[in-house]
This record gives sequence, structure tokens and C-alpha cells, in this order.
Amino acid sequence: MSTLTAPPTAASPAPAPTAKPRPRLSVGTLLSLFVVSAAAVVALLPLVWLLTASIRTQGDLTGNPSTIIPSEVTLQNYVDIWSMIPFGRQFLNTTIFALTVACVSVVIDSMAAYALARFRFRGRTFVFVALIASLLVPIQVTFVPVYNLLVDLGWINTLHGLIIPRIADAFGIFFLRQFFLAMPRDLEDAARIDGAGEFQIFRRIMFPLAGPALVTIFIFNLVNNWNDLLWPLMVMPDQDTTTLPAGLSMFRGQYTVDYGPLMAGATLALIPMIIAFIVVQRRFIESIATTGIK
Amino acid sequence: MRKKSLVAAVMLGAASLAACSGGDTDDAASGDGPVTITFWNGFTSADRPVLEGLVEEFNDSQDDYTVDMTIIPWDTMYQQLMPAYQAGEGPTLVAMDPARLPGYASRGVLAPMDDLYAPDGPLDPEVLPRASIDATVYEDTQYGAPMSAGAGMLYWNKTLFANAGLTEPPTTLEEMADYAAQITAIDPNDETKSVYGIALPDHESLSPWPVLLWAEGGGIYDDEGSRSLLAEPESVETMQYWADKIRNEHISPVGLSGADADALLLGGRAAMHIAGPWLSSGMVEAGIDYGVVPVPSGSEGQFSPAVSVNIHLDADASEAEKEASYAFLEYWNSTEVQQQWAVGTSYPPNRSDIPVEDLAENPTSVAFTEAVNPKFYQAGLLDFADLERNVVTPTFQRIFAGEGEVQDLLEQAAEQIDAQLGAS
Amino acid sequence: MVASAPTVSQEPARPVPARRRRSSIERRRTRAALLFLLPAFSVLGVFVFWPMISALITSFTNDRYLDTVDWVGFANYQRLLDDDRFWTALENTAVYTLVTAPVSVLLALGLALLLNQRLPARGLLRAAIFLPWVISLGISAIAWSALIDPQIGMLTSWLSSLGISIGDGLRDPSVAMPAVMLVGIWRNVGFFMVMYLAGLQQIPQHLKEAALLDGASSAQRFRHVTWPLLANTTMFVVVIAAIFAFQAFDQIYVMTGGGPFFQTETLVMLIYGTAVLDYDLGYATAISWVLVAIVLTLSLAQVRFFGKRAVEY
Repeated sequence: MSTLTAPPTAASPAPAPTAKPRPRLSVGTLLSLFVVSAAAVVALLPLVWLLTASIRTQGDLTGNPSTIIPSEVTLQNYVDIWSMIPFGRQFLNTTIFALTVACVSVVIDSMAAYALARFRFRGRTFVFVALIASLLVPIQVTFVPVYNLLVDLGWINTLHGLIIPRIADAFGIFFLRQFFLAMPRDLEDAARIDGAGEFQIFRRIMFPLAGPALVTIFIFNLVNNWNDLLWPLMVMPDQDTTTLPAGLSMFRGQYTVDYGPLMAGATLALIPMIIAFIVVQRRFIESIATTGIK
Repeated sequence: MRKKSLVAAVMLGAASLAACSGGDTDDAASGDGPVTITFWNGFTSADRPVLEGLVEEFNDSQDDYTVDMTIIPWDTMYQQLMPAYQAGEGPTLVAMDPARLPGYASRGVLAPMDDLYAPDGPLDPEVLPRASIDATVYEDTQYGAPMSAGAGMLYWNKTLFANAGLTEPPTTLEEMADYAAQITAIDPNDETKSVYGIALPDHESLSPWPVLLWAEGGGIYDDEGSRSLLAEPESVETMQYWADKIRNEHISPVGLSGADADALLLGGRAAMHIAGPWLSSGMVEAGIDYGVVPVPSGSEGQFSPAVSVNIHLDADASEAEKEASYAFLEYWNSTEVQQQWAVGTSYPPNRSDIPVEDLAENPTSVAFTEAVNPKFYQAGLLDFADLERNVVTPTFQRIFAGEGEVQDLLEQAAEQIDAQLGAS
Repeated sequence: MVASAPTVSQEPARPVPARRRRSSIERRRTRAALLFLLPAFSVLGVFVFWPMISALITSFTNDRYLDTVDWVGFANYQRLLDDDRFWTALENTAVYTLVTAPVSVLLALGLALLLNQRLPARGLLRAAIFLPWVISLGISAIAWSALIDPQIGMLTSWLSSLGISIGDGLRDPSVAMPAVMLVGIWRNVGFFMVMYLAGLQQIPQHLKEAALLDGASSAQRFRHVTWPLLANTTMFVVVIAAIFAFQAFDQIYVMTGGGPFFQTETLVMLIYGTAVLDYDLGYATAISWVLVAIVLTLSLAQVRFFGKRAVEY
């Protein structure tokens, strides 16, 4: 690959040095706006449909398929969802699962990432290759052995069975490693000279400094686990202990799809993620930027 | 601040771990309380509320047993069932299609239930459907009790028939194909306005194909389940006939699942569909003027696709759980429950001693007692689900998509099936 | 080996202390490093690495959940060679990856460049494009299936009023694959866009200004300043896009189940179906290990790739 070239040498003489004040909405801006808005419409279309489907009756939905506007608005789906599946229970399970995994993995991943980025030790290459491999191996590959292992441990239908195998993830370690690689060494060296132990250095200096990157991994894991379908379907065959995506998949029956309650449940499940995203939205992009990634 | 909330969340997680590892103990439930048994099935459509009501009634009617029922779509249930049994987390009772039984019975996860029909047993085999009882025997051992039994029939939309100048439902398969062609009206500009004569699904459905093949002297498997009949001349000719109708006259969309086909019928977009009783209440709700008749006859006979769901017992069930299960099965097959079930869902009742007058409230239920010559599609075949998913369905899909010659495709499929049946 | 190159090259040279002290410090640091790795790698070890080994052992047996399990040597691997279905799945996986990864990366880059300018409602637009990534793919795939249903789909009806027909929709093999790919792209573009936005923020302002002063056109500025400086981001995003594509499952599972006649079945779908629906564990694990072998080869190639990526500002 080409390496970074120096800033281009100008072919033409330099123009007026003052940047001209830009008009408010130039043709270019309008064009950009148009393209981006079109993309946003495509991105939102299924979500808007989902939202409106949640307040429509099944008859209206299948009878007037070509319109997105409900012929009559009903909130019945939002009432039904609570009795059709143990919605409250599943919501709580999902929250505990996704939140615990996201929190614990931030700690565990950052420790491993720090070691991989900042220490030289025997076998590091091997560990790194193993890490990349596990980043790439899809869950389906280890599906059956992991299931059997959980059976042997008696962890099927338990929350810890759902959570513990998930609390370390290769993507988080890999991402945070990139972050730690880009961090200056001065602080760490200064602390070391002051006689701080390695663990103290990590806890007092590196971990807090990694804040923005940790937020990114936190959100990434929160969203992924909140939405995960296959894992809870496998570990939690019991409706009372499973999570929302697995619970909601029950509406897709063999003979019919109950769109109304399904979409009502999906909308409710989406709200916490949207809130989480709004809370960190500003910092999200910045935090990825500070990781130096990359 | 973030650190604090992080710590709090970790503690919340830890607490939840502790809580749930301590919370597993209730299924041991010895001592004073009622015995709780779990029951999985896939009655997700209109029959669901009827079933839930009957189970609730059972739980309220006595204090010794409680049935904790989970209703999951069939395909999801089949994906979870074997792993759950392997994990010792399977349900005490499970309802399934007889075609699935061998796969589970051969793996030792279901309990023999020979004593169910013993002279002092809870069920009287004389009044229950013979076909269901026979279909739940695997290697000379009885493995289940009937839950529901019936047969698929031909639903026809009277309005769409009238629009095409037709008044009577077809009585032969040839008529069925001709009527379908007459009714079909493809709108080249807007597919969402096309009307189809019939909806013939090819996967995840009550398959119409075995019935259409049997009626012309062909079939998918022979009756012993020892080899495939797909390459027989009758089968090839029949499939060629329907492939022409579908590909050239577009009487049915291709690649439909059972749910797709139901949706087309419910939306008034298809005029005919072979389905079970579960569709009837939806048709009423959708305001469609419909009739139900036996599947028409072919040149070699008339058949209906038998639909049967039976209840099986976990091989690991304790004595108490078994007792509770038998009590529930006895309740389920009692006269009152079967009458309510039939009236509520349009399934014919399991018991032969319920007079037709008692079903008068629901004429569709009466109609479904009139299915002609119901026949199971391969009960007793160990690899049924595997072959259906991996060979039969894709072969039919290839035929209707025009991916190759009908004859070649069927010969390949027969070869594959024979190889697998020979191997296992 | 190869892999140590990148990290070593990125560590600033350090003063060499006296030999004895160094070895004691190194021992101490090695121990610390192992302690830091312990929690994560015990979890990965138990729930990823050990299951992989266990799968390898199963792949040499005929385990079908039946009472008897026999050692069958390489029979499962031999079966693979003649199994059309496996080759179709391999091809589908390759096609899916080679189409969705570049397309979603390019779209993401384009949108990031546009949304890095000052635009009205920029934050909202960014959020809208990112939103598909936040919702469960299993559920949005159901919504997409309903939207493009050939008989009752809203999008189908809109498209046909524009004169575009999608035929039999997901039931048509020539539509099914593009459809599941589109949904995959739809979901991931926003995520990659955010990565690119982050990358764009890192480009030092003075470089852009210098180029502007030099009178470079916007195309030139992109080619000579932005694009090279985004090399790291691009590398990262491409790798992640390839991983996502390789592991694509949810929307295929929901929308087509791998059909019609296996035309959208990827390796991951094939493994899942063989193990969970057919209980053919020996064969499923054999396919898994072929996938692992492919993945390991790719990851070694990537480690090499990372070795070359020392782009600094």
C-alpha cells in the first residue's frame, strides 16, 4: 500500500490567501443534503414501517399493504404484548444480561488489551494470533461444543450461563489494544519511576485515560448483546428466562406472523438503545477518534 | 461518575447471578405444593386462546397438578427441543407431529407410554383415532397420546370463484387446476394486485404435494419408508403437470411457505388452498366468503393430508410428573374438553363418541370431520425432517423455478433419498 | 514471527538499562502481563478455544446424538469434497463477503465525507443513518421481508408504480441473494460511517488548510490528503466489514432460511442447519473446521497486513 504522501505540491499558483466566506447554502451543499437525506430515508424506512405497524391491526396491515399510514390507530398491541409473552420479565433479563456483559467486558477487555499493547513477553505473538482467530470465528462454529459445555456445567436456563461466556470478547480487546498502542508512554514511565506497581498504573492511569475508548466498547457490547438472537435462543429455551429478541421471535409463527405485537415489542425494546445512543452520541464519534483508530 | 455507575452495574450483575443460581430450586417442588409439569407446543394461531383456556381450566379444576405451558412456533420449538432434552431442561410434555417422533424416540429422550392404553390405563383406545395411536408407535413401543387429529381440506373463496363465473368447488384435481387457471389474473403492472387461482406452498407448511402425488398413483416415499417413489413415472408425470400449470399458467406463486399461502388466502389474493382447521377463524375474521371441501380426487384415488399432533412424555420424568401428565392427558381426551376444543378451533374432536349435533355451533368443525381418506405423510421415517429439508423441498423448489428438467431433478432426489435410507 | 513485527515497530525505542536489572524487571512485567491477560483469556479459553478443539475431535466421529458414536477418521472431510451443497455455501459466502464488504465501506466513506461538512441537521442525519445498527437485525429483517413481500409488500407496490418489478421476491434465487446483501449493507453502513467520521476528525486541520491554500480542488484534496490519511481507518473498517460479512446470519436466517434451494445458504447457515436441525454433529464440525482453517489463513494474512500499516501523521 502507498504510504502517506506529503501534502500535495500545488500545480497552480496559490489563490487569494483568505478563505472566502461561504454562502449559506451553496449548490454543493444542497446536493450533499439531498444525497444524505435520501440515505437517511432508506435507513429509516423499515423503522418507520415498524413503528406504524405497531399501532395497526393485523387486518389493516395485510388488507392495505401499500400504505404506511394506519387507517385506524390502536394501542392494543402494546397492551397484548405484556400478556402474550412474559414481556416485563424478558425486558429485565435483557437489561441485566446486556448491561452486565457490557460493564464487565470493558474491564476485562481493557486489561488484556493493555497487556497486549504495552508488555513484551514470550508467546505474545501466539496470543495475538489466537485473538484475531477468535475475532473471526463465528459463533456457529463452536455452537454445539459450547452448548454441551453449558449442559455439563448445569448453566442452561441460567443468567450466569448467558452472561459469563460473553464477558470477554475479541473485538473489544482488539479495539482497545489499538487505543493503548497510540497512547504516550510518559505518564506510565513517570508512575513507574515513582514506584507504582503495574496494576496500580493500569487502574489509576491507563484505565481512566482510556475512558472514551471504553465508552465505545461499552456501547458496542451493549447493543450487540441487547439485540443478540441466537445466543439466548440457545442458552435460554425457557420463555421466562430468555431475552427480548428471542422472546419476540416467538411471534413469527409457522402459519402467521403477528406483526402488531411483534413490532410493538420491538419498538419498546428499541427505546433503551436509542436513549443510550443519544446519551453518548456526541462522545461516540469523538471517542472513536481519540482511539487513534484506526 | 462513570466509574461509580460501572461498579454499581457490576454489582447488579453479580447480584443477579446469585439470585438466579439460588432460584432454580423450585422445579424439585417436592412436599406439599402441586406437581408442576411443563408442556411445549406450537399452537400459535387462532387455536392458541382455546388451548390456553382449556389448560387454565385444568389447573383450576384440581389442586394436585399444574401445567405450565409454553407456546413457541413449531420450527423454533423443534430447534430448541433436542438441545433442551440433551441438557435435561426439556419439557415434561411436548406436542409434535408424528413425522418427528422417530427422530426423538430413537435418541431416547421420550418415555414409553404403553400403560396409557392398558385396560386400567387412563385412555380408551376404542374411541380415539386409530391413525394417531398407530402413528405414535415407534419400534413396537407406544410413545404418545393424541392431542389433535384431523386432515387438511381445500378452502375455496366463493367470491373469487363467482368473479370467474364459477359456482361449484372442484371435484377432481384436473378441475382444480383448470379452475385455478381460469381464476388467475396476473396484473403485469402491479404484482401486489394479482390474483392467483390457488396457493401451493412448498416449505414449512402442510405439504399438498404428497396428496397430489398419491392421487395419481405416485408418491414421495413408499409406505414402508424404504425407498423413494419420486422417480416413478406416475410421480414424474404428475410433477410435470403441476410444474407446467405453475410455470406457464401461473396458477400459484412459487416458493410459498405455509404462512405465505395462508396470507394470500386471507387477503383474498388466492382462491384455493389446502390447509387445516387453524385457518378457519382467520377467514371468518377477514370477512371472506369461503367453503371447505375434501381435497379433490385424482385418477388413482382421493386422499387428504392427515394432520395429527400428539403429546409425548420426557424420558426423565419422575413418577409424580408422569402421574400428573397422565391426569392431564385423560382430561384432554375427555368428552367435554374435546367438544370445546372442536367447537373452538374447528378441529374434529379426537373422540369418536361425540355426536355431530354437539358440534353444530361450528359448522367448519363438522366439515372437517368429512375429510376423505386421510393419510399421513411419512410417519415413522427416522430421517424425515432431514430429508424433507435437505432433499424434497429444494427439489420441488428447483422444479417450480425451472432449474433443470423435472425428470432429472426427481431422479437425483430419489437417488439421494435411497442412499440415505439405505445407509441408516 | 511475522506477527510481532507491527507492535514492535510501534514501540518507541527505550533506553537500555543494566542487564541484570532488566531481566528482573522483565520477569516482573511478564508476570504482570499474564495476570492482566488471565481473566479475558480464561473466558476465551473455556468458551472459544476449548470448544474449537472439542469440535475438531467431534469432526472425526459420526456423532448424531444417537447412542453410539464411532470414530470415522477423515470420512466427514471426504464427504465435503463431493458435497455440492458445501461448495455452493462456500461460493455464497465468498460472493456475500466480496460484495457487501466493499460496497458498505464505500458507501460509508461517501456518507462520512458528506456528513463531515457543515450541513443543516447534520447530527440528526448522522443519527438516522446510524440507527439501523442499533435495532435487532432479526427484527428489522422481519420488517424488510414484509416490505418486499411480492404479494403484499409496501415497497413492492411502490416499486411497481415506478415500473420496477421484483418478481417473486425472496422466493426468487436471483432476488434473494441481493436482498439479504442489501439488508446487511443497510445495517452496517451507519456503523462504518461513524468509524470514518472519527477518522476524518483526526486529520489535522493544518494539512487541510495547507492544501486549500495550495489551491487544490476538492477532488485533489481528497486524493492527496484525506484518502491517504484515512488509510488506517480504511484498513480497520475493511477488516471489520469482512468479519461482519463472514459471520452474516440473522437476516439470512429470518428472510430466506438459506433458500430457495440453498441459493442464499452461507457456510455459517450450513453449519447451523447441519448441527441444530439435522443433528449431524460430525459433519457440522467438519465444515466448521474448514471454515476455521480459512479464517486462520485470513487472519495470518491480516497480521501481515497490519505489519505494513505504520502510517503516521
